[in-house]
Parts: sequence; structure tokens; C-alpha cells
Amino acid sequence: MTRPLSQPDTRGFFGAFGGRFVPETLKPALDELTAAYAVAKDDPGFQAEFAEALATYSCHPTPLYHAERLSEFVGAPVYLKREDLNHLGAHKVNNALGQIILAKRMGKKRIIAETGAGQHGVATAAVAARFGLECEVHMGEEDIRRQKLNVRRMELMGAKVRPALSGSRTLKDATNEAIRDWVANVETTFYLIGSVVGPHPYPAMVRDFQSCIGREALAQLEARGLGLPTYAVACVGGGSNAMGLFHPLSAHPEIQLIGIEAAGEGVDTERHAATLTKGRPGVLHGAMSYLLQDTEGQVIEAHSISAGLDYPGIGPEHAHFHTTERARYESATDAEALNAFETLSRLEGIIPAFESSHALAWVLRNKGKLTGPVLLCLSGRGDKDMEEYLLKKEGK
Amino acid sequence: MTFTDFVSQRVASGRKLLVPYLCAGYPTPDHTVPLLHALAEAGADFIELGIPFSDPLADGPVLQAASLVALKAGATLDKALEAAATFRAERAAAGHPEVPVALMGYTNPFLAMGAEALGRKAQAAGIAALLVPDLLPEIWDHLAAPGMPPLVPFAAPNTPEARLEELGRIGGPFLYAVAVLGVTGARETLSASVPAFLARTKAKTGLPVLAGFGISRPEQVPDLAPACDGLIIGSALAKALDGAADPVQAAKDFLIPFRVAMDKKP
Ligand SMILES: Cc1ncc(COP(=O)(O)O)c(C=O)c1O
Repeated sequence: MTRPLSQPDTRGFFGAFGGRFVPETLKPALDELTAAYAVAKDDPGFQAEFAEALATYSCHPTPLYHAERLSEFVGAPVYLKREDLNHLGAHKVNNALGQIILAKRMGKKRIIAETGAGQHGVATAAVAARFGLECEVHMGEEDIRRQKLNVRRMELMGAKVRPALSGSRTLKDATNEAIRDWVANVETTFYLIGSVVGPHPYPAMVRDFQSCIGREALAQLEARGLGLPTYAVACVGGGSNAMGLFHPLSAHPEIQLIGIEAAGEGVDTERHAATLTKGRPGVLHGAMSYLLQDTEGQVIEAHSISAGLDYPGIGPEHAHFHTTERARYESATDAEALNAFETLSRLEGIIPAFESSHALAWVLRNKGKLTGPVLLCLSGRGDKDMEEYLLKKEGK
Repeated sequence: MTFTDFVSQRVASGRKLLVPYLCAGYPTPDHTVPLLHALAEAGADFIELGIPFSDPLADGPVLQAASLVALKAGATLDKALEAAATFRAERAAAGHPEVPVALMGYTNPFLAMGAEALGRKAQAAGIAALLVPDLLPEIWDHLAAPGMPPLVPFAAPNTPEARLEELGRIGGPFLYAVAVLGVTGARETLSASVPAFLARTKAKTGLPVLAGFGISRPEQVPDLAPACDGLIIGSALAKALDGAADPVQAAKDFLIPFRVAMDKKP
């Protein structure tokens, strides 16, 4: 009755997507990581340490909250998976904890990461401090300028923030720089990737570390006798919170999985980040997936009000879910996300991250048309977005 | 003669191959054909013509910048193929021996053209080989198509011996030995362990081995050339072209001392 969860094949492909499109220099490191993760995955000791860290360093299981006023407003029950209540305010810490426990086991001394707005950088800096490892975070020079507070938070926790000066000086370029750093220091360094992207085994491993989202939600619904949701909704940047939700649910074909990309100023403008909606298959950052690119195969800059969704690629398993139609991908504009940001704040007293606001925008758009319960991953809290919100709203 | 035979014959004759890497479209697309001629005249055995990419993750700042300049100037894969074909035809018309052109570029622009079209156009342009630094041999099938030139395997200082043997079995016209753990870019000095790495790579793969990444000065040649079959020089050439009043002359002035150093008998 239930279909098996998708796993990458031996070359790391989900259908046509994924794989390892990397220089030979990284092959030994990826082989080493694949082997170490295969052992850890089946090791009760590793899983116990990870579960303990999720529970006590963060606060898992995060609550499943029945948003009653929002439910009344849209005409269907809406359950929010409160990943915004995690330590540091987003789901990013789940994956950072999983990877750093693995890095420690592998004897790595130095952790590197890429970050856009700084959410994953802050999560990585935090867990590196917690485990006493050296940490450098690559961040586009332009993002450093826009996200000063997160830079200071990372530095306060002992991380070094390395400005990426190449290209457009944003997340895509920070990722290039992190990969270049890894190539040069591959024998000592663990690259802690922030989403379900990159070469195999990262997309599957990050998904597994984020799958607590979907597993907990299923158990919480069952414990309350609520059964399965009709819809499971999440925003999609690289796609880690969405895959963390979708993957455990994908075993239940009756659940509609809906990923919401950032449409920026509109998918028919040049300023959006709707990779599956408007992109084509291609290779970036070590994997085959969908990609915003021109006819020559040059990567196009993404745009979104939400820095966490501002990425021209997407995790390969999402590309696979898209082409096999196991999940449906739609988009929400900056304006719709802002409206959702305000709506949830007013109706529930919960300020959502701009990223999560995109998923909420889908629910609002379908007001009155929903045929059953909605399970929505509230991936992060919106405190970090207040400045940008005021700027947009009041020109301040 | 196949390109594989061409390389083996040069190696068998005791000549060390000198292979400059030129970023197509740099400093402008109009310079590509004249620069190919200049490099051939200055003693290149064959030439790697680089295809610019927006996200060159194996390249250091110099080739990143060259790539960006070329893209802004309108460089494309089609124009690079045209330049290679023009260069080949002009050399043949002048009665000069062929200096083969290999394409070096990242996977995505090749995929964007499509393997079928690339195979057809590469064959028409006489492209000798394809070097794709982000395509491991396990997934070369992504560029399999009729007419596709042979692909070239890479090895790095951290490549295990068992993998070197595997790369030897996979084969190719030669093996590209990445001399440093890191991205492209001229290094003043290379690690003392590089000659041993090159010797190990040759012994374990049985392929002709050309070393690249980090080679910047003719003074490095005596240490490196005896341990391999030839040298590939990229970033240092791009640096020499950067801002040059006469890029064609600058290319010749840059490459000739390497040819001299490589032809010197030890
Ligand atoms: C709160 C929040 N949600 C979502 C994302 C997007 O990432 P992903 O698609 O990997 O979940 C981010 C990224 O920074 C984020 O901070």
C-alpha cells in the first residue's frame, strides 16, 4: 500500500538527478564521507547521540501546533510543525548537529560551511563551538553587508567569516568558495553543507538529518488521533526543510506534498528563484538538478525577498519528486510572502521567517478551497526579517 | 592519426609536451584565433581551449576573472568551436603541421548544448579531446554521443593507488595530473612531493601523464618535466595576457621560454 521511500542509487542518483559532479580531488573525501555515514546511520550509538543533541541542544520533538484562528480563516485545519522554536530559530540546526557529530567521529578538526543570509552559518558556528571545532563560514561579500547581525553572531561564537569576492558575491558564490576551500584542505576539513544539495552523499544525508521533521509530525498527528494530513506544505530553497517533511510522508501516497519556491517579483520577471517552475536540468555545485540558467548553460542569479530561498539550484531529490510527480511545486511572490508574514503574526502571534511565509502564502491563496487538513513546516522564526520587513513596508 | 597516437608518438620521441590553456574569448572573442596561432608558433604541442563558465569551482581567482571577462565579452561554446575550426583550417591552408585543440570546460555548458550536438560539432571542428574537471569517469556517459572526442581522466595528489590503477584501465589519450591540492592558479613553488606524485601516477596508470595547476615559471620545468610527459600552463598565461597591449606578442613571449626549458636535455 505504501511505496518505498526513494533512495539514491549506487552512483548517488535519484532517477536522473544527483550524482557527484566534482573534481577527482574530492572523490576520496566523498567516498570517505559515504562510508562513515553508512556506518553511523546504522550505529545505535550515533543515532542516540544525535537524538540527545536534537532533544537537549535544540528542543525536539518540536511542537505540532493547531493554528485555530488560521484554520478558521482558511477553512481547513492547519497544523504548524514548529521548527521555528529550534535553538537559533530555524530547522538548520538539525542538520548541523547531525553532520558535526559525524565530523567529530571522522576525526576532522576544521569545519567549513557556506551561508547566504547567515542562518546555516549561525547554526554551523554554534555546533562548532559546542563541539570545540575550528569553523570558517564562507559568505558572499554582498550578504555580509546585508546581514551584519548574523556575521556578528557567528564571530561571537568563535567562527571566522570569510568573504566570497567572486561572481555576484551571494550564496551561489559562497558555495563555490566553500568547495574551493574544501578542495585545497580536503584532508583535514569537513564541509558541512546547509541543505539537501551538493554531491552524493550530501542530499541523502542532510535529508536523513532533517527527517525528524516529518517523522515527529506523523507521530504527533497519530498520537492525537488525527490521521494523515491531506496536504504537506513547505518552502523550498535548497529544499532541506521540505525534504525533511516530505520524505517520511512520501510513503503515504494519499498525502499531497507541496513545495513552494520563491517567485520573487514574479515568475515572468527576471527576478525570482523559482528553480523547478522556470529552470532546466543542469549541473551546479556537484549535482545534476534543476537550475536557473541561460541557453548557454551559464547560471542565472536568483532573487527573493527571503535570503534563504535566494538560490538558483534545488536539491536533486526534489527534481526527482518533481519529474515523477510525487510532489507538486508551486511558487509565491515576495508580496504574497509579506502578506502571509503579517497574517500569521496577527492571527496567531507567531512571526514566521520570510522563507516559511512562502509556504503560508500557499495556504492563504487556497483559502476556502482546501479539502482537508494541512501540515505545514514552519521552518523558522521571523525576528531576523524584521529589518527587511520595515524597509519594505515603511521604506525605513 | 588519432589524438591518442599523436600523444604517444610525441612521448615516444622523448619530447616533453607543452600545453598552454587558453580561455576562449579572453581577453576578447576576436583574440582567440590569433592567440591559438601565436601559441602554436611558440611551440605548443597541443592547446587546451577553455570554455568559460559562470561558476568555475576548480579555478582560482585568475581564471575566474578570465572566465567572467570572456562571458561579458560574449564568449560561447559555439564561438569557441568555430575558433578551433578556423585555427585548424588556417594552419592546414598554410601547410603547417596540425596543432590539436582540446576543449576544457565544466559540465553544464556542454550539457546545455546537448551531448548529441556537441559530439557532432566537436567532430566537425576537429576537437582532439575533452577535459571536464567536474565529470568523474563514472559518469562520462552523460557526454556520450556519436563523434564525441575522447575524455581525459584526472588524478590528484590524494588519489589512492587503487584509483590510479582504475584510471589507467579507464584510459584516455593522457592523464591530467593535478599537481596541487587546490584550485588552479600560479604558484611560485610547488611542493617537493610533486615529482614523486607524477612518477607514481605514471607507473600506476600506464598512461602519458601531463601535469597542470600551479605551474608558473620556466624555472620550475627542470624539477617537473623529467617526472612526467608534459606540462599544462593556464593561469600564468592568463596573467601574462591580462592588460597586455599586444596579447598575441605577450602569448609568444610567455610561452617560448617554457619551450626552451623543456627542450633542454637534462
Ligand atoms: C527559516 C528557513 N527556512 C527555509 C530555508 C531554506 O532552506 P531549505 O530549503 O534547505 O529548507 C532557510 C535557509 O536559510 C531558512 O533559514
